[in-house]
Amino acid sequence: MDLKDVLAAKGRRIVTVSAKSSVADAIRSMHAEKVGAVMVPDAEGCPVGIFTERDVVRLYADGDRDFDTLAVEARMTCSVVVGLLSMSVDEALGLMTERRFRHLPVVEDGKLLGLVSIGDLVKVKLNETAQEAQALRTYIAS
Amino acid sequence: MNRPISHIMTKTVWTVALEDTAEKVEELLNRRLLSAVPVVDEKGGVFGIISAADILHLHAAKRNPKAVRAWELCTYKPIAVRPDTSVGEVAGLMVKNRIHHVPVTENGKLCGIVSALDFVEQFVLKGRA
Repeated sequence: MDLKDVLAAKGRRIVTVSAKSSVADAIRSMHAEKVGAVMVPDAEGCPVGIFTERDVVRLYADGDRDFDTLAVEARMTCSVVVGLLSMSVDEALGLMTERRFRHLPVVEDGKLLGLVSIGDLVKVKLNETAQEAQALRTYIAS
Repeated sequence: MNRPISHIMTKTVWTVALEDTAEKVEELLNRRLLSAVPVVDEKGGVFGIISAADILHLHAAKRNPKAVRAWELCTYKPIAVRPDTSVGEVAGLMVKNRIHHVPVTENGKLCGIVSALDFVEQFVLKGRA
């Protein structure tokens, strides 16, 4: 299974904010849309940053005071690691585990197509395992 | 920022027991849409914590989820804080140790859990800590 299949199952909805938005607005968007990360695209739709719940924790850790005037671009992660539609779930999980991040934007020709979380991928793998176990039980019983 | 973590932590915590099977843990994580669950001992103390990734590793290693127990699967003695630890300090621990969940204990017993999501909710629902 690859990321194209994962996006087909979960949908390609991406929550975006502009780089100039305040972190307060970005956090409100995350909460309203029930997502753990928002993307920051440029005018052409290419991802230039990602702002996640981990960045929110970092704001609290750093003691930042004014979330309403602080721009997302000042606190987002700019060097965004991306996946391609053809990347396998195993490859993506390996990348996320090794680099220790939980959200992977999926792009094609530089354009943002979707976002998968480590939770989405773990779910896919656990479903696959359950199906394999069922197939094995059926085989043994037949 | 200086508010105690007890103001933002989740107080109703789903837990598993030491001898619960990995299968039961997985079922709980799926049913309650949790990404981690503390393992508590018979006195209510935190023995460990199990994340969805731990379940994934179990399956990847082809171990039997009916035979593996929670105590074998968990991260033993996770970083935990007291309810009066400040929100800023807990955030600092999470960033420094790259962890996503922190159990909160009082007198050796689990009384809450904090995840990154709680910081988002704190800001939106309750204003700044």
